[in-house]
Amino acid sequence: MNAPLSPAVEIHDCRMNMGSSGDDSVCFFLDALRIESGVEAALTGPSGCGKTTLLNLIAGLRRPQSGTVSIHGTNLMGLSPSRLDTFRGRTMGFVFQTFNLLDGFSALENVVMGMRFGRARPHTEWKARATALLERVGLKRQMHVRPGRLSVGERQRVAIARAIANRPALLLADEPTGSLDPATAGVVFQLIREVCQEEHCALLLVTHDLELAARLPRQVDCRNLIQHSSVSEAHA
Amino acid sequence: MSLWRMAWRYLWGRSLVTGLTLTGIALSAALISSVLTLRRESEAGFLRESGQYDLVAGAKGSPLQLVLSSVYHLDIPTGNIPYDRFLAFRNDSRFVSVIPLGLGDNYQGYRIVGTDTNLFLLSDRMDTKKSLFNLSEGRFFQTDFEAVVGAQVARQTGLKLGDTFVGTHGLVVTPGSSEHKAFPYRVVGVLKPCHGANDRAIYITLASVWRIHEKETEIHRQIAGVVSTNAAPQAGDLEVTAVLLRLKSPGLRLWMTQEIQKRTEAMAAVPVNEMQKLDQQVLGPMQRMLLAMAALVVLVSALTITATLYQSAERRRRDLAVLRAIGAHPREVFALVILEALLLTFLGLALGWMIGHGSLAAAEPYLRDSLGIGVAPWSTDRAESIALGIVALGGLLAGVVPAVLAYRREPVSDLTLV
Repeated sequence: MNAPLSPAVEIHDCRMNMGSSGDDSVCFFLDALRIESGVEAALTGPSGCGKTTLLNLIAGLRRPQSGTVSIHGTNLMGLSPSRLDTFRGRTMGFVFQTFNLLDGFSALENVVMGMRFGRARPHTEWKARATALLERVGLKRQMHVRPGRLSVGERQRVAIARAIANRPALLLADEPTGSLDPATAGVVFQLIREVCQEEHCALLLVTHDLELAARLPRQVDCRNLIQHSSVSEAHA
Repeated sequence: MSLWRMAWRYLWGRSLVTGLTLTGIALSAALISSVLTLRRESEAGFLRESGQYDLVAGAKGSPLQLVLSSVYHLDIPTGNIPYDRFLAFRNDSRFVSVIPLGLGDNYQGYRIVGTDTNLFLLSDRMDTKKSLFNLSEGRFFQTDFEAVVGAQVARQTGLKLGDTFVGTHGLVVTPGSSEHKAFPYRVVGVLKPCHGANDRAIYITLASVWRIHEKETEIHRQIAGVVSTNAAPQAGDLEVTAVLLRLKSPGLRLWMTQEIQKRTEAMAAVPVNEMQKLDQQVLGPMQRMLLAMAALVVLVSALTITATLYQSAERRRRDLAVLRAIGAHPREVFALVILEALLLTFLGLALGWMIGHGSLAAAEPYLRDSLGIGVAPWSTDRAESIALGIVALGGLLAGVVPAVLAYRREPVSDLTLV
């Protein structure tokens, strides 16, 4: 999907209950975040500052108690659960730190799965596109190999191919280099950027590696963006 | 990639557990299929044969024993009755067919049945256009010591047209039994298979039986020092083992039974009633017990499916969450788990059906030769379809709980699982 003109991500006044901590509940607050279409941005901050929570909020995997989350002009709060799943599959791609590939399926099938559940059309092109993408990420010879027999770097390449298979407008990457050695991390990071540019896809990359984040045009420090407080504090 | 294919791949991904679960379902289905088929076929077979005769008359004793020995060639006879009694039946206008049977000898375990040619004139009551006895080759006997052999006898003993053989005293093979070497029989006819008791018998004239046993009695007398008279047998000395009777009005069966019981030295039994009693009192409870066991196996299999799918869904929490993250709807996740249950159940049922019916096909010669039950092993009736349908429903329901749990699970907490 080509990126439309509206912002890739636009969040306003989000408040979300994060569950209990001791006798009190912890809340997540975010006043505003806007990431323009086609932009590559890094979400940084120390562990526990809410980077992954923000990513899940943007993906619609968590719903705030109040506020709005819009992706390319579509308010996720206004979508039914099924429509939200469909929207996510069509509009967003995911790359996880732990790859999250389906172990029982080959690299090719994992990539096809991204298109199958992303409702990509037409069906007849799924295999050809998956093959092309795996060739693009350098896995031409490992196409029919299951993830368990691939190196960690190769697994992350499969995950990248799956994430962009459906031509998403926004790629969400959660610590994609966190499990990789520095040399492989650099190659994978560069690969993510290249495929996003080729597919005209916005990138929101969570990392605590400030050096890596500095290589992207925009950095968002979650410590300045997200506030946490207990419910009792919030009502005070 | 379709959900069916994904479900299939997930099942193969844990082949050991899948194999064990499939085995459980298949064995329960096999048990159900074989018990129901055997029940249906044995019932049909017994009723088909018992329905050929309205009454069987013989010496007083157990009515079931009388029926089994004279209609099914299975049990030992209750004794003999005078030949005069047979003549009285023959002269009774209420009977349309009166067939004498004289037992006493066997050939390689197959009974040699003395009778008359009226037996071969009987029509099949299930299809009156057909004859009950049909020749595959040769002819029916015309004189003494000519023999017509049943299809199974011919197959198992190798007897063929023109062969001669001698009978052995007694109804079963016992070591040391004397052979009637002076009285060889000659095979003049071989019957077509009827998948019933007639396949297991050798038919000769009643007079042949008498002549062999007159000689035997004479030998016994000589051994005992009694002077032989060498006289021809007197009509009053002659006996028959049983008489097969068809009534003009089958509705008179019970009334005739009572009359024979009260007014003569013989006893009469209604074959259909005796076989129904046997079915209700012995075979029925056994079959119900087997079906109850099968139901228990089905229950255990259903619980195994639930446990297997639940465990599988738990182990695949991350996979299912990934599917949700890349756009799968909760209903697709639900369908994926349900499809696994369906595949397990239907594969198990298909395997079980093949095992059950295949076992019957393998056991068919034994069932036919030893028990006289002709089985059509590959046919499935409504009762079996319903029973297997219930198993299928059980398997489907077993998948619902893990499918609902997978449907309701929020993916976000499982995405970070390694």
